[in-house]
Amino acid sequence: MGEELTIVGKKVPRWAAFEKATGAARFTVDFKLPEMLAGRLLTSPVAHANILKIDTSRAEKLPGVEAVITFEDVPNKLFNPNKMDMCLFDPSGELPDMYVLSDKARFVGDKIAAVAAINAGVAEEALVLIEVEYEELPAVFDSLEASNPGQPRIHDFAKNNIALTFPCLANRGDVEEGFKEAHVVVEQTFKSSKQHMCQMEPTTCVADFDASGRLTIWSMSQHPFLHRRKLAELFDMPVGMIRWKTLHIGGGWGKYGSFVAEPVCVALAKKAGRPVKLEYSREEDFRTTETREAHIMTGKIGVRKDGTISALQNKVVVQGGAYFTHNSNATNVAMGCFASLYTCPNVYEIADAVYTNIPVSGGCRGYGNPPAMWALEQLMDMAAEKLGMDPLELRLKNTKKVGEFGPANYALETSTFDDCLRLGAEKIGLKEKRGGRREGTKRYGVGMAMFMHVSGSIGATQHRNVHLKFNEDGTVNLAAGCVDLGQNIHGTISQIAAETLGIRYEDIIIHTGDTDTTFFDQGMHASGGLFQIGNATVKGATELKKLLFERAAKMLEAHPEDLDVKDRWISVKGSPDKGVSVADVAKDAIYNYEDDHNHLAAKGSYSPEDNQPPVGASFAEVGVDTESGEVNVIKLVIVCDVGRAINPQTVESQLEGGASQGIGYALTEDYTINPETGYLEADNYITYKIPGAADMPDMEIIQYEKPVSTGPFGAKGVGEAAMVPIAPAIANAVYDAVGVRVTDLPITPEKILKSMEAKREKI
Amino acid sequence: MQSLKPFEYVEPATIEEAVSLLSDYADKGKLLAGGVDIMPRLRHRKIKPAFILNIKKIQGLDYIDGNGGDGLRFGALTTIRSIELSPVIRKDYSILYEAAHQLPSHQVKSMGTMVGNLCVGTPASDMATSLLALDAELKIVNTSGEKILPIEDFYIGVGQTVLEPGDMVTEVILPSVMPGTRGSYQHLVRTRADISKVCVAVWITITDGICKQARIALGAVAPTVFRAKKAEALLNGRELDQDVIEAASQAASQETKPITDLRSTAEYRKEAAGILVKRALNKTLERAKA
Ligand SMILES: Cc1cc2nc3c(=O)[nH]c(=O)nc-3n(C[C@H](O)[C@H](O)[C@H](O)COP(=O)(O)OP(=O)(O)OC[C@H]3O[C@@H](n4cnc5c(N)ncnc54)[C@H](O)[C@@H]3O)c2cc1C
Repeated sequence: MGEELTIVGKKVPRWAAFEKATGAARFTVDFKLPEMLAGRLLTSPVAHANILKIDTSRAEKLPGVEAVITFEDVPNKLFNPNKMDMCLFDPSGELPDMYVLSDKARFVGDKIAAVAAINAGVAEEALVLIEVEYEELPAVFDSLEASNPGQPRIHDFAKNNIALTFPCLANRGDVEEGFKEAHVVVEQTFKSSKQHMCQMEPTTCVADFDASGRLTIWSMSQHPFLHRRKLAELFDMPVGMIRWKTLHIGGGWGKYGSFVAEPVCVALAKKAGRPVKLEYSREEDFRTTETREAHIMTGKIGVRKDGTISALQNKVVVQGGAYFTHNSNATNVAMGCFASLYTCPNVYEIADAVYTNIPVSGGCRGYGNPPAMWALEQLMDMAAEKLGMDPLELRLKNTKKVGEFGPANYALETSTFDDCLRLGAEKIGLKEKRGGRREGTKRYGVGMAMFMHVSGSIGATQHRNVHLKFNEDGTVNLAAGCVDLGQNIHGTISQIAAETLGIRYEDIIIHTGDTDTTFFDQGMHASGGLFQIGNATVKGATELKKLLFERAAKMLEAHPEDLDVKDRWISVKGSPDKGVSVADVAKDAIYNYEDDHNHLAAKGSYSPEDNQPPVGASFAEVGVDTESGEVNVIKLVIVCDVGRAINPQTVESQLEGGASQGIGYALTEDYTINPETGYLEADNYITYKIPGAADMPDMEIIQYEKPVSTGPFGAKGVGEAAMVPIAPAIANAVYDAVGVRVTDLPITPEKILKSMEAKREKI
Repeated sequence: MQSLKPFEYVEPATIEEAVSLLSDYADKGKLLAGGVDIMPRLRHRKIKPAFILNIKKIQGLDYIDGNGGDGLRFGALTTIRSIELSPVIRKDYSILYEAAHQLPSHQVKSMGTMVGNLCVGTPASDMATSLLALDAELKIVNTSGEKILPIEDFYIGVGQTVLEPGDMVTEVILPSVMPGTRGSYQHLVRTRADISKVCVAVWITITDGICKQARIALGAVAPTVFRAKKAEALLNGRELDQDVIEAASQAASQETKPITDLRSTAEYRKEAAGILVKRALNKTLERAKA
């Protein structure tokens, strides 16, 4: 990568920052159509019940009500709201087990009925008039309990509530032999929690059928094309009869990797014969939509005397909730990441996906990787202690080398784990700070955790397309099928296009969010956007540049190979004065008075040939008050090898954002289900606490750049990376400070005091 | 988002008009100040008043008058933000400043009134806890006149005050501060923007190293904010050494009657109350010596 870059690698303003900061940006929740009705949802107040009767007649008679729907008004078809079955080679993974509206209530928040009315007030009043007769059934909320014989059965087909038992795709070697070789073996059960995405914009969708029966849908989906197909199949419509549009999205973090409001909204619009906006309240959003999947992992690690890992085992119980949603994929990712972070010849993992009467789970930033690292990176520290080895040393002994395989099963082109570990250790002062400074009732400690994620999903089709055309003023329309939910993919691919074409960042006019006017894109997940769409953009822009040069060559009477373009000016190599502006060439292609027209336009298509993972390490320094159990994160250092930072500011904000979400996951976000009723108690931002700006520690973000040949300008994915290692790094730091290990998330002061007490009693 | 149930909305211009309307509406009316607490309750249909009476248009209710020497008064429309920004309060009634200052949301502080906060009646109110330690009084007005009530007698249960339909609080009165008085405000939260798990305010007059008068108020550890009088008794007349502080902290912890909720467990709250009292007393001592 010898050439000098002028736009890539620069902190250009992120896409739509001004609109968002000034309130000008329009989100789905702001969107209005003439004649539009307000949709409202009726959800189950009980955790498990047969529905004996739903009487909607009183609601229907309420003036202003245009449609009331129940399970009888929706397709009589089981489906899975997760799009993964549309992109996997093997679609059998995610079980279809839900209806658009339920005929049986399986959790508090299960969707039962919906209303469309002339305004929200009338719709809400109508909900109260719907009479549902529930025959309550015994319910079970704990995944470990749910698979015992004699527990209430949640789905007929699932004996003992086990929906599916599946091994890790990366199982290898012989773990029994591996554990025999080990000098120390550590086994521990870890519980992770159902973290909520906490996207700022509450779930909203608008659906509208035109006179010909063609449906336009405005939604927050991260996968417009896959969801369009899924919706078409669900409602028995040709795909071409659906146009899927996207406005600004107020965050997603994986929530909109599944259908959320779309199917109900479409069913309402269909019945009402008018456009409908279905909007969730914050409480409904918490209760009814997907969260991060929680796992109970019993992990086991064997380490040889020299510190190399001889075996890894992991028995996983998936706390998926009442429907299957992402159980298979999120858990496969969890097991895959557990199996692949370190070099280890013997791995065995297996998972039981268990139904319970609690809200559903899905994919949230990092997918299964954060729960996997919550277990693995604590096991590493436990093994290090037992072995009498420094935990940094233990990690360094086991990092993967070039040519070994990453979680997506591609050989690593670079290996920077050791650099990241050493750099971070130095920045936090690991050596000096380890072992706990003491000050009054406070104890201080440091801890670390390593990570490796992916640049795109594993074993799936990841087809991406962009197209580009020149306008006669030299600006370029860049159209892509992707969506920007805050990660600035629009900005970074614009940088890539501008850099490749030799024009300016502000010359790129990005267009996305419309399945009618863009080519297919697989959607936003698995930190794959930049790696893959970036590559498609390089391809498309390179093709467009070729057309540009061909035309310019004619105008300059030169050979296209001899041309160069820089800052909107095309010149003959070696004689910069002999040239023509990009705008003049673009204009000539459209307004050529000798009728030599050929509008300059190109398409870039990319299917992954590679998947180079972002890797790195995070380090936490904490203070723990031994009297109150309060944990105070004093400093975080995050070192991440991102290949190349296309926009360092975006990378920094992604890593900082991921870290703040990681702090919440580690310390405060507690998805509390009432053990008697199954009711989600923390269902808004007063009760469910995500850390805010005032809670942030001093953060040092180090963007380590080692470009990879297969990434656009050398870049890898970064969106999820920092979420992955924070919780185990904090847990390891807490252990360093006070010598107790909290193994179920979140690490609350209450749990710390209890563990400290238990430890004292043992002594 | 949930919509509001329709109600009739009125904006009285004077206190007299307000209390007369309130008395007419009886239990169908609801007084609105900053709306910070009321709006979510209306949206969630937890309250369904037929009349909303916005007092924001009443002139002369937004003030902070006086100082530690003479005593201080503020009105029903004085916001938490104004209290936080008042140099007099920061200097003379530091624990009220601390309680206001810990609230990180500028939106809440700028919209929410101090009196509104008190009238919500939550035992987790940082403001009520501080004002209780300061021995504040409330002026309550209704159609038959006005009365002054110590804040200690204001609360009767979770979300319950002695206010009757028709009553309006117009003013908060803080007594003058005796020389040598110092204090500290302490609380525990899950995140900075959370409601306190436990909060403690102490306000102590120390003369010649001896505690002349101690007030220890606790919040979020009983159905109402309350004074830990047994703990106070252990301090009065004594020099504040570590043994005395430890004994008072334990006594205060014993006086709590906490519950388990999302924010914490009863067990933890009881223990943490003692820890916070100890922290607050030590901080006060430190300030007294400075
Ligand atoms: C995000 C958030 C964070 C918060 N953090 C804290 C915190 O850290 N510490 C803390 O203590 N509080 C906190 N609060 C509570 C907040 O301070 C109060 O809700 C607010 O001050 C209420 O004041 P208001 O003027 O908006 O009252 P309103 O909502 O207008 O009214 C509240 C209640 O008081 C009654 N009322 C109001 N004025 C009078 C009057 N003059 N006479 C009689 N009755 C009256 C109303 O009828 C109503 O019942 C927080 C609130 C939020 C939303």
